[in-house]
Amino acid sequence: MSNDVFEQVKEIVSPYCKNKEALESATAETSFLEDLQINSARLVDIVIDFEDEFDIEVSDEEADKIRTMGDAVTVIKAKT
Amino acid sequence: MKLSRQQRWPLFVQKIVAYLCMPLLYFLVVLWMKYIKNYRIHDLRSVRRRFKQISQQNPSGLLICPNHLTYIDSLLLAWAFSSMGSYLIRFRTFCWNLPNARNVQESVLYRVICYLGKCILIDEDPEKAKQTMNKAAYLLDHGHYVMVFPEGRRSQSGRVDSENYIYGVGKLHMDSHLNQVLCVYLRGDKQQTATKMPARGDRFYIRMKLQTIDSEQQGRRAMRAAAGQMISTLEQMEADYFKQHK
Repeated sequence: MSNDVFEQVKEIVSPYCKNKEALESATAETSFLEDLQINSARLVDIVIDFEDEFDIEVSDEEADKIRTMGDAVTVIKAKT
Repeated sequence: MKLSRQQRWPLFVQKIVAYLCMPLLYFLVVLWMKYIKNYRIHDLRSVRRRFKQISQQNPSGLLICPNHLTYIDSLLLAWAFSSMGSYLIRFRTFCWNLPNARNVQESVLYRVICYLGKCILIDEDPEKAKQTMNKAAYLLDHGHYVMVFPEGRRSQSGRVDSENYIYGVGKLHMDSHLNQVLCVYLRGDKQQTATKMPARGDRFYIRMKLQTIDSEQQGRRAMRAAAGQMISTLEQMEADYFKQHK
């Protein structure tokens, strides 16, 4: 399940990611802003995509804590 | 939007100091732009008339959202919107600005000018940036004018950047509980792409449009929709500019 979620997160993040190589070798510690070079404004789009894809609601506080791939998986798993 | 007394007090002091220094600052900045850089505003009188009309129609605060091509866009607009006398009478219409702290923190002079020019610096740290946005929402809520560039940075393409714009301006609009924003399109005749400074002797075209922001969505979706509407309006204004300046 965790691995599935991780792969789905990768897929969702892919269109916004400037560093595709980093995404290919992404781990739970991979950060959206520094490693994947995603524009901070696009993080909002990514969280909205998470909500649509997993049918969940992410609060502002939870969204603020999503800095890495692992953070995203943790938030999604806690709500599905 | 509510602020603690510790947050409100520095804003109040800054407003008073800025008011006292405004005549000198305005004089020096306009002197530099008009006589040293030889900049001119197309049809300055009608721009000021329109701005006055808008401010009279809006006794509440106003979020002003211009496109962004040079470092001095906010100075040019401050000059274009009102005379020194008008600002002294209606100081709330002299806009607060939210520049990136990184751009000014290395120079004491820049920091002083920013302070006197009613700027609240946006820090890169998300928590501090959020506090600045809360201050801006508070100011809007209390009848002040706040200028924010929805594109977030100078457009590298020279056209309104509809790909990389920020959503924070949408959040600010939501937090301010105002229905309308003032979209402003500013462009120098010689401006091809983003530069630090406009070319010497450039003449600036300015158009304003009060835009009602509609969204049936909530939360971050509403924030994204609001920012998107501002950018669409700016794109439309840009299209009008190029239609007129073929």
